[in-house]
Amino acid sequence: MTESAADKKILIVEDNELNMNLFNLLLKTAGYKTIQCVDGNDVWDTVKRTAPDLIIMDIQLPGRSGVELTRELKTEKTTQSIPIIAVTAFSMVGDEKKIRDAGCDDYLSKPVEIEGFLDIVARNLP
Amino acid sequence: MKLGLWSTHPFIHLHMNNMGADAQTLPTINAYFLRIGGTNPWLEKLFLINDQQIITGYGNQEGIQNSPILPDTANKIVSAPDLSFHRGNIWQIDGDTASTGKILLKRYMYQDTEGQDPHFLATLYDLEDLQNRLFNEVKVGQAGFVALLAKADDGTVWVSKSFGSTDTEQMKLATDFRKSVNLWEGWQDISQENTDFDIKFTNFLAGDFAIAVVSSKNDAFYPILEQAAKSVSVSILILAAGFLATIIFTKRLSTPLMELADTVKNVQFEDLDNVSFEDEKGNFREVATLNTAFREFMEKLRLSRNSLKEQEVRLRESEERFRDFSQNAADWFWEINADLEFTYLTGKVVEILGVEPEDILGKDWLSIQINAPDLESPEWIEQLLSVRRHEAFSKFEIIWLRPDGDLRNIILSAIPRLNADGEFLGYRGVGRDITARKKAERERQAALEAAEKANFAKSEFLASMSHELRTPLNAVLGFSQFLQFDGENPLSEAQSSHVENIIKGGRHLVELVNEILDLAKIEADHLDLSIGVVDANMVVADCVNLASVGFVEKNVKIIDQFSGGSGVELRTDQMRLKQILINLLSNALKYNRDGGLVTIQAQETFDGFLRLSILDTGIGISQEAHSLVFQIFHRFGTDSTIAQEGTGIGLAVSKMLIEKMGGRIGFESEEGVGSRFWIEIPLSSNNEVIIWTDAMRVGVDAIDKDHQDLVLMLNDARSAVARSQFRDSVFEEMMKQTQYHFKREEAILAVCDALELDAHKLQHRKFLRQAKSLIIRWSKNPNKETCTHIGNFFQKWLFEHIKSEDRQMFACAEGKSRDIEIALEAIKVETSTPLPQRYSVNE
Repeated sequence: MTESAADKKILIVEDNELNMNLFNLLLKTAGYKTIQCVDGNDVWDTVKRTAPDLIIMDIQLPGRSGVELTRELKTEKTTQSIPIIAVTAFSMVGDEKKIRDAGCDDYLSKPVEIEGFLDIVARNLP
Repeated sequence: MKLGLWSTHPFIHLHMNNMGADAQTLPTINAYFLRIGGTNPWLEKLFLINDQQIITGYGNQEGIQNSPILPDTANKIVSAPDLSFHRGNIWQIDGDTASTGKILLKRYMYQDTEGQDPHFLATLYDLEDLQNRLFNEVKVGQAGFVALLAKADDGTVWVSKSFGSTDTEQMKLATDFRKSVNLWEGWQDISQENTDFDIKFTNFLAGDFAIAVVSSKNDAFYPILEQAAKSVSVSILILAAGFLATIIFTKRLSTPLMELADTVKNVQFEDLDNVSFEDEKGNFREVATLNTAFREFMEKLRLSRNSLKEQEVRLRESEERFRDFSQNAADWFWEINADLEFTYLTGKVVEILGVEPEDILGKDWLSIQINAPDLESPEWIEQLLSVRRHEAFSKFEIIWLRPDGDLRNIILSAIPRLNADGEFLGYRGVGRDITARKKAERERQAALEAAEKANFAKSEFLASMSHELRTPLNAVLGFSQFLQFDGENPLSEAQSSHVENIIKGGRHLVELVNEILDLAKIEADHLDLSIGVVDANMVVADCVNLASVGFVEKNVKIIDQFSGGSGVELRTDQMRLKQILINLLSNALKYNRDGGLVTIQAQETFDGFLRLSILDTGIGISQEAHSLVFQIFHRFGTDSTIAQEGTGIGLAVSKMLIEKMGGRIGFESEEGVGSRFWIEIPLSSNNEVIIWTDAMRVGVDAIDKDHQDLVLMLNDARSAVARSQFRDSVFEEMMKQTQYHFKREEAILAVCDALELDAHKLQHRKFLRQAKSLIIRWSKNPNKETCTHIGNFFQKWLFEHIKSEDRQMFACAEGKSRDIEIALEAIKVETSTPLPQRYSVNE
């Protein structure tokens, strides 16, 4: 709930409705603007249209996987500076490395702790 | 059975006629006989008979008085039709058939010009003895032999009872020999189809005698034998022997006799005294010639017998070599001419190609149902080109379509045949059926893929289980926390406490999910260890750091006496080590009291481990509960609130993990005072400890489990001995476990119809024998050295056995898991001796 929070747009990519509601609620409560995207196929459009300051990225998505999307976003010049935080239930051995290798700036495994979640968001915002 | 060779001699006859067998003549004749007999080891008897009585004679073994010639036998000789003078005839004399068997006589008869007063000079040779001395030890191939034959004028044939020959073979030989009428030129092949034997004859001595070389077509090396008979020395030698014999008898014996006959015919009786039949030394020339001829004949036979034997030894060596080579290299042998048409085929042609050799003889080898695995492949085209270039080739792979529709994978190897001018005559080569091998390869490939798929499916399942459980938990925990977090809508105290419980339950659930998945992974044998050199100080410091928040919350002090000290390097999996340490630290915290203390201490053991100890001032563990500590779902203490916090899995997982990494775990505890849990991790310098890795996997679950258990036991035993905790049973337990494992392995091989079962069993027996003797040595003198011997032996064997023999099990076990399960169950029931603890846990 920093001063500048209100200026920041955060794109939440999450296919699970409950979790989308949770992250949306948490981020809004913390004062951020949120954009929601539930389908991997719509991510690119949404990013281009809304130019978010940060992306909360689920990994297992309908359409395209979060790893794939991250790799693309981090390759494309216009989008590569947007911080991406993977928030995923993939927490088996090796998952974190795989996800970070794709270009995610940070990684958080579900279930999340509220404070940890908000900390990591604040930390990664430009 | 006595065989006699009788020859009449005109000289004797003349003497008899002229002088009669008077007191003067007989001693002369006897002295002469004695001289010849004494110089001719082959001569059995020499007779002079007249009409029906023996006038005189010489015998090697017995006096002439005991001659086996019965009066009616002599009569038979005398009354036989006249025979051409020069041809000695072999007579079958029935004689005393029961006791002496058949007698064959060769007589030379001479009558005076009026055809009166016949006398016979007869030499008696024991042909059975000849056969015994000359040929009985000669073997042709595995079952072949050499036989001597003699034919009487009435068609009766005597065949030596040769070593290795059967009555049937003798009958066959006799029949063939009887049928032969003329003196053959050289070597005759009288083999017949549909018989097991290949017979070659040569006859000599006016066709009355023969040597037969009989070779078995069933010999594994028949092809080479046949080849040898065609080209090399055996037949030539026998041929030479026969030829020499013929020469000797027709020229050196018969010719002089013929000359004599002519002389006699042309000389007046009155002048006979002047006809010198004696040489200058007074010997009776002609008889001496006869004797010399026989002696030479026998000598030649003996020499050829010796050469034959030498040849036989050499042949046998080359046969053995050939057999060893060929059994490994070839199923059949073939030859094609310059037009690439089959000209010769032998070996397992019918069995493998499904055709009779005659069916494809004369046919172009490529025109007959030969196909490449891939007709377009460069290998196949190159192969065809090399044949066109008349080059040698090897392992030319083809697919053969049998007339019955069966497909066979075959490899052909051949070398070109060239004549002296280098002109291409065709190929000669071998073929091998590799259908079974190909099939096994395919099956193994399929099995590998299936196993990989199954492995992948297992891992996939575990990953998605984890994912699916976490996703809803995220919402549960997130919203619960938000209720407390939402400053705008504060909860009442009671509500807050309820929400706190929801969060507690949720977190517990997360922990459970984590640990159950870990456990499942270990159980499913899907734990991926990445063993490397690990900085122990850093790991401990990290863990302390991670745990510190909880310690502060619960007001327990943590003292790390290790990570700030001198650096220690371990050989282990860093992440798993952290997991174990965190589990131990959280236990030390969970069961501690308010204001308590947790201390981390470390020390290197003398046998190459770092022992990390975590001491707490908690509730401790009662003596009765000590044995339950590492069991799944066991929790310490009776305090239900503490109990609820644990999953009951952590220590069990930690124990499995650390043992997988070649380490150890243990504790000392006193109820109400506290506990000291310790782990020991191999130092990076420790090469003795075995850490099970995926590379050691065979692919058959039960076997892999056994091997892992054996590795654990081996590590156990070593450390027990290293620490002088001599339990007499330490190696016995290992042996018991090993024996049990062998039983299981053999049962698996048996239900899988593995070809290697017997060889595998032998390996097992051998191992047990050697291990037992090492253990006996150890028990007599239990020290580090004898223990190390056992350890190294087990370790080396385990690795090598897994690498070589056990890997084969994978292919044959595929798709038989149900059978394997049943077989293993049966063994479990059958094994009455209780197994070491470890087994019952893991089973």
